[in-house]
Amino acid sequence: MAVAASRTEADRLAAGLPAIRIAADRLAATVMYGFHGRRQAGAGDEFWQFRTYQSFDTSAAVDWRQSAKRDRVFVRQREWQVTRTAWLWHDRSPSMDYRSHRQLPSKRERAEIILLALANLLLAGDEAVALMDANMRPRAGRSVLDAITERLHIAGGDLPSATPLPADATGILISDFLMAPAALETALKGLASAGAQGHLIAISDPAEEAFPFQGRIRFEGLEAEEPYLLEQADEVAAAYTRRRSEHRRQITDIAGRFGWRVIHHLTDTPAERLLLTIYSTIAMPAR
Amino acid sequence: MGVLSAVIFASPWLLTGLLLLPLLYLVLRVIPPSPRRVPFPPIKLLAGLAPESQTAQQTPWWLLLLRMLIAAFIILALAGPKFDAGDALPGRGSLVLVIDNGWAAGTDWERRQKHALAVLERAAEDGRAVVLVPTAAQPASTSGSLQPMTAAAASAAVGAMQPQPWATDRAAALGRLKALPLARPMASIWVHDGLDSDGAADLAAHLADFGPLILRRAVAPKAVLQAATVAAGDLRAEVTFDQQPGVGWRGWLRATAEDGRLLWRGAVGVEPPALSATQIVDLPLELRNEVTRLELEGARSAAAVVLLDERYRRRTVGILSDEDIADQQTLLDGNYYISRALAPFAAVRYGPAEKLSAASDVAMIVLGDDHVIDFTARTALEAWIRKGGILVRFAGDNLAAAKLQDGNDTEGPLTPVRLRRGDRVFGSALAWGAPARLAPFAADSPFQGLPQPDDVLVRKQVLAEPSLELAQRTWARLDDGTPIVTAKGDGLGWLVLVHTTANTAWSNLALSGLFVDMLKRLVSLSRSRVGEQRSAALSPHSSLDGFGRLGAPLLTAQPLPKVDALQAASPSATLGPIRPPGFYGTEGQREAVNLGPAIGTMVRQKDFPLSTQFSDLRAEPVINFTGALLLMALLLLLVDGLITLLIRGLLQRAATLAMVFLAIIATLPATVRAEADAAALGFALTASLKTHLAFVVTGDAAIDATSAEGLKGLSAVLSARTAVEPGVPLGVDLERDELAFFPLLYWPIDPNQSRLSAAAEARVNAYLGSGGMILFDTRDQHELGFGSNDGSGFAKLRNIAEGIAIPPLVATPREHVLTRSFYLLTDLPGRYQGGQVWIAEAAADSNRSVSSVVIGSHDWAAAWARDAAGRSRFPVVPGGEVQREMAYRFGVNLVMYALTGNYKADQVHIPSILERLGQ
Repeated sequence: MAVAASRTEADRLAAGLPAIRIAADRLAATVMYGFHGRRQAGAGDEFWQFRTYQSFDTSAAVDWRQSAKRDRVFVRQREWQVTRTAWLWHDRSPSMDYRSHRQLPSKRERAEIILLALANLLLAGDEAVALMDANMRPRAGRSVLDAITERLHIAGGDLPSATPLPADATGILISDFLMAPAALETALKGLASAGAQGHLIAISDPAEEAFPFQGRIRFEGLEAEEPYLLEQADEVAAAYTRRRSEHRRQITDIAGRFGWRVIHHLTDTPAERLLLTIYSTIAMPAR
Repeated sequence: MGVLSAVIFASPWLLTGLLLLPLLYLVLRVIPPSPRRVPFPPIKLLAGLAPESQTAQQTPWWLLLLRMLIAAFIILALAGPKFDAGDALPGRGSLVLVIDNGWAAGTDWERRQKHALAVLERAAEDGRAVVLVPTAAQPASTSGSLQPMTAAAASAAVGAMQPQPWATDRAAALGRLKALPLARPMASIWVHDGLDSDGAADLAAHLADFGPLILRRAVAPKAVLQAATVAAGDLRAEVTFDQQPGVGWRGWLRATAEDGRLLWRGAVGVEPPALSATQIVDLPLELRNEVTRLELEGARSAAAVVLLDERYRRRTVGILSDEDIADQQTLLDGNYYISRALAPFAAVRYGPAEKLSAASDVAMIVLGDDHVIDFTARTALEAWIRKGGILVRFAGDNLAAAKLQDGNDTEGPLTPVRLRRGDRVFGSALAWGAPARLAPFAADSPFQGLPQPDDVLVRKQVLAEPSLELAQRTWARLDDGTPIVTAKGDGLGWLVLVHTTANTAWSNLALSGLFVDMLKRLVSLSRSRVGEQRSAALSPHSSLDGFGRLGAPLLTAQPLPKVDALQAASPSATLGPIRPPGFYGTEGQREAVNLGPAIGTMVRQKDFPLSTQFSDLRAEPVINFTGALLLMALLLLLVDGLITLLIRGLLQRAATLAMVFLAIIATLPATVRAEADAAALGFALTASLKTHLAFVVTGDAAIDATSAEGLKGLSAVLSARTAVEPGVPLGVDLERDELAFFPLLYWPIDPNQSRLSAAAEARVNAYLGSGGMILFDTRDQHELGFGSNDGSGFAKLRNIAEGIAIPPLVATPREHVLTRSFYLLTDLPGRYQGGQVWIAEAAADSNRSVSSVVIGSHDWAAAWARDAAGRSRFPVVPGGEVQREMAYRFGVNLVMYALTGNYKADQVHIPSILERLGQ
């Protein structure tokens, strides 16, 4: 019947909107708590305060209505609204496709959701957002989200290119950070060479964290690494954990060297908390 | 003999393979199970890590045990173990296997056969030649000389052997055996039925003369249904038992009808001293007449069955009259009362004396008082009585008056006793006595035991002349002692006189139930005429087999010969291959030949040579373990596979695969056969789960694509506008697919299409006949311009549809329901407009007939066709969306017509109905 025809149309429209985008929107909605200014007078649309006229004010700034009510001349001030720029990037290497259990999202899915939700939030806060290595310029506005969504799946490696970010920009790298620390250092050095700050969001699968394996196991990498056979996997768990924390410490050290922060995230924990943490750090920089 | 020692191996040297098991143990132990494979991104972090204890994981001991068990099973199975607890064969040299396959072997034939097969299996293992001697009488054509054969050939022969429904002929078997030159080292086994017969002792002696003789015999007592007789009005079955000192027999007797219905079932049994018992089949006469078969329940033997033919059924009674039909003065006519009384248990026939006495099936003739018999009739009747007929005569005014006219012989005018002149009247105005009642019947009277009602009064009778024979010729008296029924035996028959009338003139006897009972007794006195006099030879109709089952006549059976009336023939005396028990004759008139009467007394054979060994009939076949062991190994292998998957952590994914695999294995034998079925079933499922429009696949890709798209477009229109929501249109291959699922079939005519095969035509005809509808579309109106009636496609259609039952056609009338069934249409356009649409000519009752074909040349599918985006595929001619819309509307109407038939035809008349209602 007629319903069938409408459905076809709806399906066609919906085809352009990936499910991940919807999930990201939903995630962003839980975090977003409204537009907020810088809480100081500046360039912006919102009213901030009236203050008495001073000699350096232009006459156009005088609020004549308020001045007429009183004896003094008042100037209307607006809240300072500054636009920050966020450069987003996520790891597209095959190792991100890992998940240890059917019911967990893969690291890539989690990374994409976080990236989109973050972009969504930032755009809602009138920040300018761009995807690294995707031939984008930072822009504000909802349409940027579509551009990001479109470029989400273009090919990429396990590190961004070392193009310097502008000094006032914030870089956000989402990855499992399993690459060699030296490579990361090179990349970060390039990114932060102009003084940009940023965040590394390290996403891990619970199995990578806890190493719950036992018995005779042949481990196989996802990036064509040599398989590695262990007779008693459980006996190396402690050594693995040591190595992993060592690796993590190296990453944190490298990031710290450039003033970047590392945030760890497991795919079996909810993404909202992570998002809230990042968003608050980016949107309200320490002042 | 111990159980283990009974296990032998076909190839024992293979058992040395068991020595390899320890080696296998070592190998299996060293090779650990394959590791689980786990994808792990931070694998670089693992590089170089080694567990502190370097012990390699070993195969668990229970898995080792399982695998060794599998290997052991396979080795054992290959060695071919067999279990043979049976007795070894006697002697050496060739083996003579004598099998009694006469009627007595039917009851436990399977045991005998199994035993013989077991014996032959052992003979095959020992490689001994076998001489197979069945002892049942054989048809002359097949009783060739015996030949030694291999045990395998003998097994095949025994497997095909059936017990025969006649006796053994051991003398003949001995003769055949003697004709065979037997080599000395020889042994014999005789599967004996226990009964003695001619030549049995000689045969045993002959066999024992050549070598050891083992006699295997069954001990089951054999009951034989000897005969069924009709005596004193009852159907009696006579059961005889095998002579078994001290062993009784107890069983059930069944009487069944022609169609196998059980009519009666009664216990029958005997206590040791007696050897036979008689059981009355206690059934009402009407049901008794339906009995065609008596059998001993559970005794599967031809000897436990008695077939009943017409002799056991209702008799034919003739009533003398001038014509072949009854007189018309019913209530005054004695014949009326007689025929009414006879009707429930006898067939009544009218006719003159010459005709009735000449008829082969008349058992009794009734002579009323009205009928006058002349000399020739009397002679014929007297001759007939002497041959076994019963003539029942009723008195009356004529007899009372005529008694002396034709009687210068001593006995009077065809009466059993001499009669006195005149009649005797009771209870009239001028008489002293009251009407007389009947005295109780004497014990020697045929009427003995009949209930006597009080109200039977005799007012008038003829009196018998007192004589010496009178008392013994009297069958019934009045209470004053005068005879009322007298009878005289003559030859094989009887002449009976009832001294009163058959109507109510002299007595009310004819109104009483006693009258019926007396006639019934008289009829049961009569002998059956069937069988004694066989006017023509009777060909075999059906034959009993050795298990007492009635089936097609044996090929060797020959017709029953013609028998003259007085010739005492005993058909059962020659029972054998040419005269098997069963029915002979035709369905209407047939004669039963039974085995029972031919059996006589059954005597156990006791006369055997001293060296004979006796044993019971036991069948202990050789049990071959190879298959079972291999099956066990296979099952364990499956278990092992599952365990391996479990260990390697692949079970979750593999479980699904394994289940599919197992399902495939389980259905493998059926798969090959079922493949075609599965395709048909899949098609049927697809076609029947939803209503689908369907089109005939012509083989021309363009036409088929247009058909599919056209019907798809029509389906979309139907779904959008009507309650019909068809599924995806299906293409139908007329040569292959079942059509019954589709309400409507669109058949575009392809100029290159060839005629259908006969099977496909039959399928199309069945489809049309069972309510299907086909829309033929020749798609060629453009060839002849608009408005033309038919193009060249019609010639092609005629060619294709030659074998299809297309009804007479008419052009669609304007008011036809096809133009009304959903939309009101004036025209039925397709891609082309104009021209005729042809439908089947309406039958007289036009509301019931739905045209099974609609034929046009409008290329409807092209008008309906839409591409994937929903745009029309072809332009309509002359054009316009109005025409396309009308084409869709025609399609909707057509589908509605196919689905609802003429239900909308009523609406055509709504205006006139409303008009009438308004008045």
